Amino acid sequence: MPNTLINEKASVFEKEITDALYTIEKYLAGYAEAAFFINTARKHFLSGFNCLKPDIIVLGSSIPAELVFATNKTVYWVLGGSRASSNWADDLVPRDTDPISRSSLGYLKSDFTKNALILVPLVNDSARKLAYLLRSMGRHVHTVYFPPVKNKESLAEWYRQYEDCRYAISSYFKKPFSNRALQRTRERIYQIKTHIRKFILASNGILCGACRMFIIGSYYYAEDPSEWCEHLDCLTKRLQNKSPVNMSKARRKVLLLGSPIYFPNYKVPFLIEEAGLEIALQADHTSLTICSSGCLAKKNRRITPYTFYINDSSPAYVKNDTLYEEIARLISENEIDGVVYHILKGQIEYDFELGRFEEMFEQEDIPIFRLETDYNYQDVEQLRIRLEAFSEVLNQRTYGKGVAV
Amino acid sequence: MDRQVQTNSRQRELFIKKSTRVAASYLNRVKSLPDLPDAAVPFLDALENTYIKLQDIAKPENVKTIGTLCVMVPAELICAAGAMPVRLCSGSYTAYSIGDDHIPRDACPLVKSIMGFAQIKALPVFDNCSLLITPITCDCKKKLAGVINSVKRTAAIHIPPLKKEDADTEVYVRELYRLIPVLEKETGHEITPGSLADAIRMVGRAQYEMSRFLQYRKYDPALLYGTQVMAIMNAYAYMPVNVWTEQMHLLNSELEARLKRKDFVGKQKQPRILVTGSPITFPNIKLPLLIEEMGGILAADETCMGERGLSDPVSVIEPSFDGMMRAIASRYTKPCTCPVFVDNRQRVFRLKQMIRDHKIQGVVYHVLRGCLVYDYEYQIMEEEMGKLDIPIIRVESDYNEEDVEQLRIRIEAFIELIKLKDHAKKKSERK
Repeated sequence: MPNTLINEKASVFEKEITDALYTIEKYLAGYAEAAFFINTARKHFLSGFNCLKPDIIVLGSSIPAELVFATNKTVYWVLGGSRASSNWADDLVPRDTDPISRSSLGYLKSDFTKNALILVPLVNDSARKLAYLLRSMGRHVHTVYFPPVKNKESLAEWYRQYEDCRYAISSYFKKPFSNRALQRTRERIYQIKTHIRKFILASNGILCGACRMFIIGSYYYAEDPSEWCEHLDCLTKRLQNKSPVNMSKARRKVLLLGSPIYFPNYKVPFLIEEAGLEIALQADHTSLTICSSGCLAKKNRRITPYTFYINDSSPAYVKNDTLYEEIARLISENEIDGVVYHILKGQIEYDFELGRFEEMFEQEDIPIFRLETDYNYQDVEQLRIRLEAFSEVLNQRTYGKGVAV
Repeated sequence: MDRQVQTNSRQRELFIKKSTRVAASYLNRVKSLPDLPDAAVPFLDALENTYIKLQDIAKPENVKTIGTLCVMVPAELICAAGAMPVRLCSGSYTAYSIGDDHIPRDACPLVKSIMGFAQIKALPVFDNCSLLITPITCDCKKKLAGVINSVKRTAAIHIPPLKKEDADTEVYVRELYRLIPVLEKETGHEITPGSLADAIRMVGRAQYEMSRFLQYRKYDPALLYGTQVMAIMNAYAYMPVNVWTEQMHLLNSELEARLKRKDFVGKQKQPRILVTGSPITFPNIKLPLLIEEMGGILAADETCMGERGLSDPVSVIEPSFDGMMRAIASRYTKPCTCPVFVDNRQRVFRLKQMIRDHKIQGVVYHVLRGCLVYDYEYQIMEEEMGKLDIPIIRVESDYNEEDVEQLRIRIEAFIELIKLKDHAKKKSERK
């Protein structure tokens, strides 16, 4: 590829990241503690792919983090989220491929992935075919799949997948890691999750949804999760000392559900906030993976290799009961006025799950709003109008119920 | 309430009227192709009974039917449980439009069509099934298993996305063992080593007749039209296995006689086309019809409703119950070239083999809208066909007739291209 073209592509990508970071920085202007997270993201995305030398690359958020952190190797998480990188994969994938897979492949076809071990969770059709494409490009790929019905037999099968992944990592680096090291890492991750939950509680009503999403998501860009956790604690303490701005009284609270939203594509959360709504809760698969302790907290169980599978709420299952139960718990514990169900074009699994959630929210008398989009910006104005109308509906409902706005 | 009942019954009436009309029109087009072998008529009758006369399958009264939604569900196990397998993947345009209201817009038409039949309850073959077995292969089938359960009792079986390691086949073996009590409970018959062996033999005979039939398909000029072949292979889904086998035996004898008489239906210079990709299910057979109406001959297909479904027999190495179960698991996963598997290089080898055996001159790559797994593999196929200098065309279609004229123009141009290429090749050979 000619150098000018490479530079042009890189500059589009840089502009996308810089623009998104600029907006986030504006929102977080009053918080010096947040600078760490912005810098972490800047370093992750803008230090140039040539400077990256990851040992392990993880696609998406469906691989148990302890398996990669226990190795003490350099980990690079590829979540997707970039419109520019999704354009890089245009010639490799079918037209109807979802933007997350496209964007991930855009990153992965870069040269920095050549010597790394790429872990691909087979959560959907695109992931399977991406694994195949990457292998044909000569990359070292290990796949992990999720038995689609959670039962006793599938737990045994999951354990085999878990151990296979562990073996693949150990043999790639010719360095086995002990059960003890793995258990320690599991517990460390659990501790981090506890801190994240504290942050969510403290930031509620103070930070806007997009900023919260960004700070939590930066977990995947951090080189050292423990350092990241320390900075999160500092921010949490600062937020705990601050009283809520009462933003919640003026704005209707919504739960953001459906396809995950990854930085830098924060089009939807920004639009939600601009439409006068507040993202009170975010419950996509990635956020739940980072924050939720699921059954562990409820039943005080020991963290085991099964914990991840039992709590996994990705759409890799025939019936996503874990997500359903988690949402039921969230709406019983929190007061929300409406639900924005975000679907990225091509992510058919989320669309299939919508019907079940519609029934659930209908019973609770909570309006649900399906919002389909991709990583392009052409539909922004249309989405804005629809979200404003939804916001209006929620306001009218509140008036109707006789609650002062 | 009465009004709702009236609306539903009117919708059902309209559905029946429209779906039978579409099915009849396609079946008539198949029948109108010249030189239909006499022995092929019962296969077309089976399709007529199912989709036009709306009859259930002709079977003994106390035998239950069990619906399957993929070729990766072993017919042997169902037969061994004393039931009859019926494959319910459908190509009905009318059921598709009903399913469209219950399934996400971007789901594949095949899944929508299945859901449409489940909702409208107008197809006896579908409605009389006591159980549906849904294999979890692609995203749409996976999620369908969760949704259709509310209207029809469903058993889901997990197909591992990898098949290289023995441990992956072991997963499927376990799934098959898990299916046994479900089938036994449903039918009230125990699956014994004897009944399983009988079932393997019964399906094996069908596979043997199919392999003979496929040999006749290799002749150039062709002995029968590819569209007729597709209809015959589709009929396997709606006929008792032994009845289909007997009829296939008669058809093979008739083809043998035709061969001796050199009674070919195709012409010497007809472009020989292979269709691969998303399944072609009756009544959605517009693509084979277009190919043959435009002057090509559909010489082979690499689809799950066609050759792939019955091409490999179960080879039992160890005649114990477990040995048979493992042989079944191997047969249904190892040679399968479905793109739901992560590593599907096998499909490239299979296609190359078919191109050589069937003297193929062009490949039509069929993609049903929303069938992402096949679409992903198009690029690899395009590269491979380029190496072999075989023209390939990607045809994206849906379950409606709106795109027929556009497809006709593209197929016509493709066939012209093959003819010109062939002409140029012969000219250069003469020089």
